[in-house]
Amino acid sequence: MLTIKYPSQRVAYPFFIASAALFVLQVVFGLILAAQFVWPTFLMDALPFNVGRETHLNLLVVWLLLGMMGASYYLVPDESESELYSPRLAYIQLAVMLVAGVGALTGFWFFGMSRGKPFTEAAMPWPWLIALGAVLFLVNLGLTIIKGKRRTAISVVLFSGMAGLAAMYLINMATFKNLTVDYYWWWWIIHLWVEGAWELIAAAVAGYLLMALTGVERSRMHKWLYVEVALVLFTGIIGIGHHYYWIGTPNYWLFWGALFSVLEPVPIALMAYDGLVSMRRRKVEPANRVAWYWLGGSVLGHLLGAGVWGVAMTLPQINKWTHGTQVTASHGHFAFYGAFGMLALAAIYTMVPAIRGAAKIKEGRGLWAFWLMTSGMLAMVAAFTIAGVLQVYLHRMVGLDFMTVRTEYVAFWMFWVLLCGAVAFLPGVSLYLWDLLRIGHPKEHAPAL
Amino acid sequence: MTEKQLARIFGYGTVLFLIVLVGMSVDTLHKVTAGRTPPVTDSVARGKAVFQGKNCNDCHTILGIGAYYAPDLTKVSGRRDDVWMARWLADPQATKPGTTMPNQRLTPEQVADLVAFFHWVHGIDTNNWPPAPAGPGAAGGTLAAGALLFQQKGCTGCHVVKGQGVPGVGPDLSLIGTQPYDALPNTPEFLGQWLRDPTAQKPGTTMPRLPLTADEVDELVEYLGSLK
Repeated sequence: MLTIKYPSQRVAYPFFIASAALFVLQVVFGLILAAQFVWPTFLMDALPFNVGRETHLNLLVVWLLLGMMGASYYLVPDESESELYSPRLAYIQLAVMLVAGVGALTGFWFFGMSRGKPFTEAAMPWPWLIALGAVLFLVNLGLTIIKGKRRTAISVVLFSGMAGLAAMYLINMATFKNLTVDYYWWWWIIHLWVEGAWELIAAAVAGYLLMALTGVERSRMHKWLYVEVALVLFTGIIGIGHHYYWIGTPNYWLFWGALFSVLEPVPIALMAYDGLVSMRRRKVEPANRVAWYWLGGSVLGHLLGAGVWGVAMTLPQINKWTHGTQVTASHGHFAFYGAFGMLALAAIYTMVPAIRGAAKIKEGRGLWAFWLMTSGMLAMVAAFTIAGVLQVYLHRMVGLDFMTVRTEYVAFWMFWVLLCGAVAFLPGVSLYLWDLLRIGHPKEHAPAL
Repeated sequence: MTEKQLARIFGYGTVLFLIVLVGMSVDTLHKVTAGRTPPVTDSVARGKAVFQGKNCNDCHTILGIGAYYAPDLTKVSGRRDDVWMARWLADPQATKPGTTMPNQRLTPEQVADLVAFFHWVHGIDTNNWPPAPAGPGAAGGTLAAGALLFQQKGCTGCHVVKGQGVPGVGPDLSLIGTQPYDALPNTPEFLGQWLRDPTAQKPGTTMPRLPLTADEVDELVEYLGSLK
């Protein structure tokens, strides 16, 4: 996979650059939030905590989405054996998404515009523009698959995931007066994204990368893919119940949510097994170690961050203590980075050298970025976990006042989040952005044969 | 099994589970609006709109959802009386100087709607969440129970005792057992009355009336009396 087969695959590149730039920005805002835990008056007037947090969360969604959209524009023509239906439409779509993003951020920062629910704070009319961007993307991708010579499991599953993502987002257009009803539907967006649609996208992209980097047989990969995504949805759809334990919904969710949630790690473990076996029994050596590391990292990160950290707090007997604490933040950071972030970077490091036609890349910067980001994230997850366990014990079980625990105990561990983020993760993600602008540059690398 | 068969299992199975989820959703939403949540009045709906419009949920949690920067507000109506809550929402700095809670410049109507909204949220059947912490009795003895209650009720958010707590809002209580504060008595009888209804003892005080049982008042009074 050293060169692209179809010129329209190059469309992916600007998506990757935009994604990486927003990733850097997301981390900067995350560090400001951590600093505000340690020094509560830090930038308090210029950037109140709630504004910083909505920025941090929304940038996460957008950089991951743009990364995966770029990966889709690269892999669907390859899978369909056809040029992309319309590269021009893809550029228009990117512009629409960026305008919506800038509009939403401007609304947050300067006009106090917010819809007030985490991850979906973007105020009207920006959600409509985001939805338009998603529709343009689906039209472009769908028509490419339809007119293509080949319809593979990877492109079908990828398209299903992206369509699911867009469909769930439409719920965001509705408003409800009852907070429980509001959060009931909000979880359809958040849960059915991360434990449904995003998993489909991740499984398809991972399958494609495994074939590209290991030479594993397509027929075997396709069968595995269907088994994995079927199990993801069969467990994940009713697994939404673990969000319905305490929000005013009937208590039968305690049983059904727990039952299906404990099964959710099964397909994740299968994916990890499949990924690791494919990597060990590779028929070709990876073109670059950076992509290889990110792919291997995502296999393990998915298993630990989404699987182990998720299942650890999914039973109601445990969740009643951990719900609404930093334990959730530890799972959130680990799962997003491990399951989706690392995979997006694996895709980007596989695809960009091919787009640039580079046979080999200089790996030093990319490997430094990998280790800085990964070690930084593991340390941050450890600090979040300790902060969360302390919070569970002191606030929930002993009953100490929330603010006492936050200022006198949690803040110490948030300092470690800040420190590890500042000395490892931020330099790592900055290095990644720089590397992305340089890899495959003719001055640095030999062209493809 | 062939790839086609697996694809069919994936497709039909997904549709089946989605149908089940839709069915459960219909039942859930019926039960939610038919008793598990109180009726939504216009004031509650407006209060919710203020809560979300000001993005309170990206500092506070509510129903356990949101950020972990400020206290969960699900049962806040049980912790603070309406008068104190209204004053706090209207001007946090005036109520507790130095607080990091920003002034949201709310109108009196918005404040009243928010208070109504918090009352409404308090009435949601949350399957007993958040769980009650270990009882003060677990600390062993009335004095230790009082010390724990002092922490549990958030007194350290405004008072300092022996260097622990947030200074500058309420008086330092390190020596309240021997040194009266602000020309008010420090007898057990007065401290009990003060805890039961601060405003009745000193109109205009920023000290909130906490929901305390008679035993809790006794335990706190014994603890305060021990601070010498």
